[in-house]
Amino acid sequence: MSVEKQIRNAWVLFSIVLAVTLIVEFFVPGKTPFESTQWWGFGAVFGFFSCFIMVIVAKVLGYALKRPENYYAEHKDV
Amino acid sequence: MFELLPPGLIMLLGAAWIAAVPGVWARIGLFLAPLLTLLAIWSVPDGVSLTAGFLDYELQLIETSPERRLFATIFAIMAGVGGLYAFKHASKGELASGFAYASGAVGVCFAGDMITLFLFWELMALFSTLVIWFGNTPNARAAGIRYAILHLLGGVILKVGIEGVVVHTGSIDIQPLAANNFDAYMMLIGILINAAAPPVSAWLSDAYPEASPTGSVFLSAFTTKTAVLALILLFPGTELLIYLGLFMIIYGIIWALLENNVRRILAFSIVNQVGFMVVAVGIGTPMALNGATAHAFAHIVYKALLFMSAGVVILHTGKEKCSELGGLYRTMPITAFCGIVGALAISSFPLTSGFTTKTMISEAVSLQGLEWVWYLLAAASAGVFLHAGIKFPWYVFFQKDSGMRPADAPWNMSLAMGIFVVLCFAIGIVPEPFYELLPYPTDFNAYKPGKVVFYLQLLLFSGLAFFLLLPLMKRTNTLTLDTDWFWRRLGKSLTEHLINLLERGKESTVNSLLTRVGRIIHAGDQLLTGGDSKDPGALGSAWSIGTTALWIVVLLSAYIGIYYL
Repeated sequence: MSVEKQIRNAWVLFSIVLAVTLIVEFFVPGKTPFESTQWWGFGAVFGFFSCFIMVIVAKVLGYALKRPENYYAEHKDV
Repeated sequence: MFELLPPGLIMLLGAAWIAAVPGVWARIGLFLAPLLTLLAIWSVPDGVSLTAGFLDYELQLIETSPERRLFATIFAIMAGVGGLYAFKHASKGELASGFAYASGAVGVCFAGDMITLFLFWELMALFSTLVIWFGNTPNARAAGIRYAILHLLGGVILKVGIEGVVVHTGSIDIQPLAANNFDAYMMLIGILINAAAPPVSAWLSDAYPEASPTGSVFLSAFTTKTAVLALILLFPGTELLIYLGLFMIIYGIIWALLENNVRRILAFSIVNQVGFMVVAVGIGTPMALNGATAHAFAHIVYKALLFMSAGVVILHTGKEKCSELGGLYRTMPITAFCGIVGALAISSFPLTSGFTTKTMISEAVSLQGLEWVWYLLAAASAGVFLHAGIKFPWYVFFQKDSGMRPADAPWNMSLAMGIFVVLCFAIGIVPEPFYELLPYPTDFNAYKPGKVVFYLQLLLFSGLAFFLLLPLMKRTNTLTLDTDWFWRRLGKSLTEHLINLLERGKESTVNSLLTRVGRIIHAGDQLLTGGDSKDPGALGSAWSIGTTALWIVVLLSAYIGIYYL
């Protein structure tokens, strides 16, 4: 099996798993301890967007804070 | 017989044995010392059971309670399994130092008074530095010195606090303190330095990855978690800890996302995970303290597992950058599997120990009605999956094919990892017997269906975010600036300038400068005392112990800092 096909299959499988976690939620009560966030799909939206924000924040901070590996003198041999 | 021997001492004797005897005999010590320590830990009855006189104080060498026993248990298990993992590759010195380091941690667990606590605290600082130095590279030596300076400084600050508390309360007992005076703050700062709290979190990610691959397994377990235990015993319910913990959680995620070095990613995630425990101590309710204790126990297991998996990779490939690794699952299935289990556990995936312990902290937060803290912890759980749960196994074992075909772990390393894999699942699948051991009785149910669905969605959709955002997370051969810039760069260049200035300047310039300073001081003294030498004046009067001690700390640390830079 080619690598592309493997990757496509993995995505299909992953999408099915994601869909199942969303469908199951129709039958399960009491998702979070707080009334305001008990709506359907909250976990998915919250998980996705918190990660999105964290990656963007890291990316932006990276522009300011990343340095070459030999930045500290004693790390010349790294 | 075991009731009379402090468990920490048994481990320390084991360390001495390992250092002293040759080959096979030392291996017997590696096996027996943790076992006998465990026996001692579980045969000590609750309360104070061994005291000794020191000056006018009665030291309580052994005091036990459920949380102390649980921390000591995992420290002893960690030493044993760490020894099994390391014995073929690590030098005698590293193994002995690792065990002596563990003995310090066990000793802290049973310390009933602050003097005993301090002694074992310093024992840990000493031997953990040695473990780093056994990394045996110029970088390891330099990082070890920076580590030692910071921890000795932390020790001195802790000592200042202890002296203050002893002088002002007359008691050396370890009991909850209110963080509302100078003495308590000094103690809190001293402990928080070991917990890798801001602004000095950088010591951890600086030092741990420089140790040998076996050494960092030992390092991952003891220092930060004894600090958590000390916080549980001394500062439960201190609100400040909630904010510090949240900062540590977010900091750990962001810096790990930027990092390329595998062990440094894991080091940042220690700060992140300890942050969860610090938040729990800050809340301070029985549920929260149960959560902190349980999570510390589970964390030591899965974090060691992650470091072990990374250690095998580093030993067999000689590489530890994400950008140079990849595709190793082909020839290292055992190491990959164990690494993935550790990664799932740290992400608190259902059925793993992370889920049954970390959700206890979230539950404690929601019971206190701290809604925004709960959301931040939930977001952080997603972030942990992102930076450690997927990132570590993905870049090391999957992504591109690096072309390397290293052998899998040898039997002893596989067995050590296997033991911890079983523990991760055992606590995750059947948590009830483990909950029985926690300090407060609990009927906490981790597996409420709604909660499981919420966490599955949270984690899996953060996985989706990871793979969609992969192009944004391209690995770069860089390091990320941290607060250690102040002592590794700014402090260093300032000192160099100062030394240059003094060397270049003629002696007479320095002399005249000193004379001038002397005259100013003399004039000031005359002014303050009105020329009467009997009155000591403001600068000559007696200072309170706290202020004097603080000045000594400042002067000593400035001296040490300048000396080593």
